[in-house]
Formats: sequence, C-alpha cells, structure tokens
Amino acid sequence: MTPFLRSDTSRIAEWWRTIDRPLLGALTLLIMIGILMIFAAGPGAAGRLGLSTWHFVIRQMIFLMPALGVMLVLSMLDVREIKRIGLALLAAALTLVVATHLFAPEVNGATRWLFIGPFSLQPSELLKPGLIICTAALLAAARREDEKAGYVVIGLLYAVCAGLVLAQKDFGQTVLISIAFGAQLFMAGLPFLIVIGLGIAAVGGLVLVYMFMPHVTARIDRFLDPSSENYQVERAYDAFAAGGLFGRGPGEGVVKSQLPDAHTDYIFAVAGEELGAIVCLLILLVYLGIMLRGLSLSHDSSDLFVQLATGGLVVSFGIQASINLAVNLDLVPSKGMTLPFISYGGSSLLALGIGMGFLLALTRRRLPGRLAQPSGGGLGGFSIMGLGR
Amino acid sequence: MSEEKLTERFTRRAILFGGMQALAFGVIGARLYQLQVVEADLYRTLAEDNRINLELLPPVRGRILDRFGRELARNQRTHGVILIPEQTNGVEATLDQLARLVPISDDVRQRVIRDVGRNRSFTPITVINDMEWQAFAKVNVNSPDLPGVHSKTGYRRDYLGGESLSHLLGYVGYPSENDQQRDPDPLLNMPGFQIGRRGLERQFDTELRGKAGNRQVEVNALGRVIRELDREEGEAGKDLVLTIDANLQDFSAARFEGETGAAVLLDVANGDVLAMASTPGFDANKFATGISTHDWRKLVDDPRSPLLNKAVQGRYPPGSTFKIAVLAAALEAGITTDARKVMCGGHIEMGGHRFHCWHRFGHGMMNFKQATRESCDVYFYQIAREVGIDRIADMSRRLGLGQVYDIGLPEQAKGLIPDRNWKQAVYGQPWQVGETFIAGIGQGFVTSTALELAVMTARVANPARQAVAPRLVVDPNDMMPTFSELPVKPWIIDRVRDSLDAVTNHPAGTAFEHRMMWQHQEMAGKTGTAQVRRITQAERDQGVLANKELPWSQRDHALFVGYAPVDKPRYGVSVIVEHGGSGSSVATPIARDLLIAALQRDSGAQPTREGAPVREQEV
Repeated sequence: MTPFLRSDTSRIAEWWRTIDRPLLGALTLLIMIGILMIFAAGPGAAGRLGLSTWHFVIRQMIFLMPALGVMLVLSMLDVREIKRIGLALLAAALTLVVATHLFAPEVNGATRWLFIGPFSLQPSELLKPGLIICTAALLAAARREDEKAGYVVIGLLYAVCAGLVLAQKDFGQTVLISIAFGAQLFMAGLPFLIVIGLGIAAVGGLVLVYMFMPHVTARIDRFLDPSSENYQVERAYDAFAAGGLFGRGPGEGVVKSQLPDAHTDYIFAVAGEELGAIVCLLILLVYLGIMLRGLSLSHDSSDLFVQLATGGLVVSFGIQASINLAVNLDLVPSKGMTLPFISYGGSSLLALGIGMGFLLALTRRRLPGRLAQPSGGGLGGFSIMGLGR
Repeated sequence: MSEEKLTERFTRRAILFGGMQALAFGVIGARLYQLQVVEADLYRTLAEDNRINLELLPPVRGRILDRFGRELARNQRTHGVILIPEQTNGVEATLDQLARLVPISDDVRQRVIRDVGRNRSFTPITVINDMEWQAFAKVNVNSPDLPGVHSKTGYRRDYLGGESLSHLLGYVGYPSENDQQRDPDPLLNMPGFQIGRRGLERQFDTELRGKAGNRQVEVNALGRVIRELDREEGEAGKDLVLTIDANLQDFSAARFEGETGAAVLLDVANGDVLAMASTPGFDANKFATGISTHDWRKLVDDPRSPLLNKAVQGRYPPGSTFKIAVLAAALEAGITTDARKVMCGGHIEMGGHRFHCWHRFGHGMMNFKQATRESCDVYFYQIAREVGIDRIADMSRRLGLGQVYDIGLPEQAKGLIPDRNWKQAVYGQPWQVGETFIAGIGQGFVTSTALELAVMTARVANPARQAVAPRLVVDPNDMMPTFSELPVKPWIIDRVRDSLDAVTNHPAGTAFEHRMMWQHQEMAGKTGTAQVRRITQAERDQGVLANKELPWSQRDHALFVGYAPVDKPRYGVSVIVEHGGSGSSVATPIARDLLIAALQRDSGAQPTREGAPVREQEV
C-alpha cells in the first residue's frame, strides 16, 4: 500500500461521506432510465437509417463511460479546483467552437460538429458548463471588487459565447445559454429594473432571430399555424395517446419506427408510448427533484460563487429538460434539444457529465474546516485580472 | 450590500426560480395527463385493435352431389411448401436445397425472393401451392435438413363429373373487386378465397360457402402472433344435392358422339332433372385453378359455344315437336275431331303464297292421328289457321313452353311463344295469317329451349295429369314436390298420347325406324326438323339440297321429344341436335337411348336425403 493509494482511498471515503446522496440517486435513476430508453428506441432508429441494429445502443454505452467517469472525478474536486477547471473548460470549448467555424464540414446546413475518428463532438455543448462556472466566479468576484468593470467583462464573455453559438445556427443552445446566464445575473442580485430591461432585450433578440434566421422562422410559423402538419409532432402525439396510463410495455412501441428523431429529441415520446403516463410523470418528478434539491442545497452554502454556480447549473439542466419535454408534448415549437441523460448523443452526455459533476462537487457538504473559508479573493486567478485595483 | 443580505436575496430569487420551474413542470405534467389519459381513451379501441387481431378461418366449401350421393364437386386437399425467412439459414441457400428435391423454376425463385424482401421476416412465403404427393412426401422426409421450410395444406375445388357437368356446376374463381363491393362477407377479401362464378356454384354460393370462423390472436407491435386468445369455429358450407344421375348425365353427353346440342331427361312424375346435357362441354377444373388466356380464347371463339348451357340458354325453333301444342289447342277448340280430315297435296295456297309440306307430293287425306304420326305440314297449316295464334299460344304456355323454370341455374333463356298482342307490341304491326301457318309447324317466331320441350313432354306424359315443373336441386325440406292439375282436359291429352304413340310405333310413323325395342318397352314421341334457312322456289324446282350438301351452320336442327314406357310413362326426354339434319334419323336414336338408359338404371328411386358419409372437417 503506497501512501498515494491510501490518500486516494481517503478521498473516495470523504467523497462518499459528503456527497449529496438524493441528488446522486436521482442522477443514477435518470441514467438507468436513459439506458432502458436507448434499448427501446435505438434499434428502431438504426433500422430506419439502415444501420446495424445495435448501432445506437453500443455507441451510447461507449459515450456513457467517459461521461460517468468525468462526472465522478469532477464531483470529487473541491471548489477551487472546480473554478480552475471551469475556466480551462471554457477556454478549450471556445477554441474548439472557433475551430469548428473554421474547419468543420457542414452537416444539415449547420457547422456544429468536429469529427474525431468515428465520433463527432459538438463543442458548443461543452461551452455551457464552462460558461456557467466562469460567470458565477466573475459575478462573485465583481461583487467583492469592482461591480461595473465586472459586469462589462461578464457581458462581453456572454456576448462572445452566445454570438459564436448562434453563428452555428444553434438556436436552442443559444436560448439555453442565455436563460442560464440571465438566471445567474438575476440570482446575483441585479436590480429588478435592469432585469426587466434585459428581459425586454432578450425578447427583442428573439424577434430578431425570428426575422433573420429562416429555419427558426419556419419552425415557429409551423407551430403557430394550426392547419399545418408537422410529421414529427403528429407521430409524437400518436405515441402519447397510444401509450395511455400504463403504456404498451417496454419494446412494444410502434411509433418509434416512424419518428425520425425517436432516439434523440423525441425519445420522451417513445417513453410515453411504451411506459405510459405514470412512468412519464415519475420521470418528470425526477427532473424536478434534481432541480429543487440543487436549488435548496445552493443556499445551504454561504459562498456566493457556489450559490450562483449551483443555481446556473441547475437552471440550465432544468430548462433543457423542460424545453425538450414541452417540444415532445407540442407545447413549444421544436428545436434541437436533448433530454438530459436519456436522449442519445455523445457531446450532450459528456457536457451533462461535466455539468452534473460540477453540481455534485459544489453541493457536497463542506467539512467544517473548509466551510469557514469563503472561496473568494484571487483564487484561481478570478480577481478579474486586477481590473478594479 | 452585505454578504448576508445578498445571500438572503439570492435565496429569495432562487426560490422564485424553483417555483417557476415547478410551474413549468406542472404544465408539462398536465399536458401529459391530457394526452395520455384524457385523449388516450379516444385511441383506446385503435390500440386494442393493434394488440388483438381477428383472423378469419375460412369454412370448407360444401360439396355438390348427384341424386345418389356421388361427388360431383369436392374439395381436394392440396399440398404445398412455405418458407419462413427468419428460420432459414439464408433464403437462397434454402431454395437451392429445396430445388434438389423438387423442381423450382426461375420464375418461382424470383417471386419468392421478391416476396421475402417485401414482408417481415416471420411472414410465411408460399413457395409451391399445389404439388404431387410424392414430391411433398420427399420434402417432408427431408424437413430436418430444411430449417424454415414448412408444409402447407389447403383445399382446391375439384370437379369429378367431367365435361358433361361443367354447364350445370359452373366453377369457382377469385372474386373481382365488384364482387367484393357487392358482397360484404370479409371472406371475399381473404387471399386465395374462391367464390362461385358460374352455374350452380354461383347460384348457391352462399349456401355452399358456409360461415367463416375466426380466432382472436394477440400480436405484438410488429404483427407477430404471440398467442391465440379465442377461437370460434365457422360453419362448413352445406352440401348441394342434385336430382342429376351422374351416370345418365355422362351417358347423355357421350351419346351425342361429337354432335353439338342439348338433351334434357326428366322424371315425368316429379320433374326431377336426371340429366341435362349440353355439348360440347369444357373442363371446369381449368377454371378452378386459373385458366390460361389461350385456353379461354379457344373456348370463347369456338363456333359451337362450349361455354353455353344449350339446354337452358339455347333457343331453337321447335319445328314439328310444336305440333303437340297445336294439336292439343285444335282438339280443345273443337276444330280437330276424330272425324276431321284434311287433304294434303304437298302444299297449300294462301294469299298468293305457297306453303309447302315436307312431303313434296302430299300425304293425301289425313286425320289428326295420321297427320301427327307422319308430321304432315299441310294438315297443321290448315288447323293452325282455324284455331288462330292466340289459342295456340295459350295451349303452349299451359303445356310449359315460353317459361323460365327456377331450377337454380343462372342465365336461363325463355323461348318465344308469339301471339297477336306480342306482334303488335314488338313490331307495331298486326299479326299476319301467314305467320300462323308457319307457327303451326313450329317455325317462324316460335322458339323454345330443350328444357321447355322436356317439360311439355313430361306434362303430356305425367300419369297423374299434373302440371309438372322441373327441379334440379333437392330441397331437403321438401323431398316430394307437389304440382297443380294440368289445365288441359284428360281426353285431349289421351288423344295426343295416342298420336305420339303412332309416331314411334306405327310403321308409317316418322320415328318408327328408331323405335324402342328394349325388354318389351315402347316409347312415344314426336320428331322435329327445324329449318334454319329459307328454301327458295328456284331450289325447290331443282330439288331441295340434302343437309349433307350444306355447310354445317345451314343444316337443319334435328329434334325429338318423347317419353317411355308408352303405357305407364316414367321418363321424358327432349333432344336437340344443332344442325344435325333430320329429327327422325339423328335426334330420335339419341332420345331413345337416353330413355333406355334411364329405364335400365331405374333412376326413379328417390334421391338420398343426405349426400354421403360425413366428410372430414378441417381442424
């Protein structure tokens, strides 16, 4: 037994003592539902696309391993390490997004993916957790040091990130980043007047996007026009109706063989058909539980960074889930957004692993010694580069 | 702002966010409830349909039996081979293996591969539908080496009576789209299901078809049967028992010896049709298995119309056989009496027109019995003129001419019995006296079918003096049909019978040469030779051409109607030989032989109530 190993064991033991088990349990449950659903929806989608039966199932299993590994490793880190990693992640993600703009081939009229061997990576997914951590750190720093300069830096950072993602025609991701960002500003205590102003600006932004991005225009128009037929939406509708209270039973669904995105954006419709309303409501409750548990844990902490980072992570997670669910249930116009931990997709899974790793790390019960010390002041280079001094 | 205050504000705002999210999830949950619980009820039946399939079990078609229970149409078990792709080690390889046992043509191979591609891998694909027992056994013995290859048994309609019965039985075939629209029975939409398309098969299709059974099976989302939930056996089709004696039927058709025509043999007491032949015939089995275009064209284009049931669809001038009705009408009208004589000089003049007797130099003085036995035309011209067409028509109808009898055959024709009203209605012209002359010898407008002529004979011969009507199908609820009294006075019938007796049994009778001399039994009857062309004066002057010298389609029709035994009539017959020549030499011997055959077989025995032994049921 080397000392290194012993210290490592102690770290795992400490992790197990301090981790928030309801949150961990809920995430584990989601991942298990996700595995069940990819087994249900994967073969059908693969068959329709002419791929081998287990194509999506095998790939999802391969994606799960690094995502879970990253989540567990990150959840063991302390607050300072999280900040550093968050900054590094943002830097790396931004570089990759720029690289995407420069090098990536066009897929479905958008340039979002980098291809690494048989896999593809969507860097904008990774941007999200990085930006949330950095925004939280900057807001906390700005609070202590120079508010104005801080907000300017934060605003610029957001503008760059959102602009790059929007330039990839990734409207859904942009909305998600913006909501998380706005939520963090709001929770950081921005005066209501400014919040309202930002809200108006956001609506204005939406209008602009509607006017100048043709595929967004088309989707929204189609949603608002009751006479138009949207194939995906109608099939999803059939799926829920056919499922009823108890569903057809796992694997017995029919609609998945007709829904083009049954394994990704519309996987909840497959769940609706095969598992029925009761299980679907349980899935809803798991998402809501993770949200509320995260928020309630966030104000156990007295550290503003921890509060804002936790809040941002939880809001982005919850909003992503609710937008996907609302799209499935034909409540909002369709946009490319995955259902956290259940939809097929490597980049999405990896980003969620990182995000939830951060969340688990930040919501660990602080050891008495560590709790006393606020995580502010110069840690991880977050003094806003000495701007205010 | 102090850290403490900020934290407080954070908490408030975080709670606000939590509340908003909870609200959002609440809305989503409500929507889920609306879709899955409230609206799902609307889809419930649909979803149940998907889970439980109702499969039809086709009933076994009823057989058609003759009066003694001999099978005329039955269901032959067919042996075939099917293939379930998912159980094979490759469809091509399996077909190769199979081809070593039984020949598989390239067409079949291509069809199978195409069908495999079009269906789910658990759907059975038919490779061979109907094969020899030997080959089938070979495949079965080797089945352990042929994974995915299964045997299949089904039924094929099999007609046993030969070509002589095809016109009566008709045949089965696949329903057309029209049939499917007209008949809502879901069986018609079943692949491979056949319905009656002609003859009795068509007329009694509903009875023969039976009722479909069904089974409820649970299927998964892809349609694979998981288990059987419920099974309701159908009702097999009812057997149809005919009055036909299959042996007599065979014999009747064969006795034509290649000639074209029709014959109807009746039991004069109850109207049972013992034989109803129409020649030439056709092979109904070809239709049951799907006839080729070539064979079909050959049947349709044949000038001798093999597809036509001449016994009920063919309308022929009755010729001198019609003299039976004319004589009865004249007796009833008092125009012909035992003492009444007419001078036949070979022809008779009327309004500048000359009507000829078949006997060029005339018969001399004739009474009705002599005139009938020698078929003197001049005598009948004369009395027909005196009786008038209306009274002749009336008598003809009472004797059964000009009527369609409901014997269960579709598409029956009705002979024409003209009268004054008819002429006025159809031609808008009054009846001409000359037309009565021609009608008097069964030519001109007058036509009748072989069945009508047989009925007339049976009514004359019926021992109980009843207005017999024919029947072809035995009604198990009414084994012995009853008839009303014949509305013709017995003394008239007696005189007609006397005359008909003379036709065959008096040395001067037209049918004497071919009279019946079998076990001291005798027949009575009337010959007829119906002209189908007009003989010009020029031809008469040079000598009328013999039938042999004419092309087939211009030769005379030969007819004979008669019954036997003469004293206690049992069987009545009518024979028409299309363009056969003279009735006395061509039709009479056929009719005589049919009557002898009937007497020999004594078919007068009652038909059996039930067809035959209980047949095997499909399990």
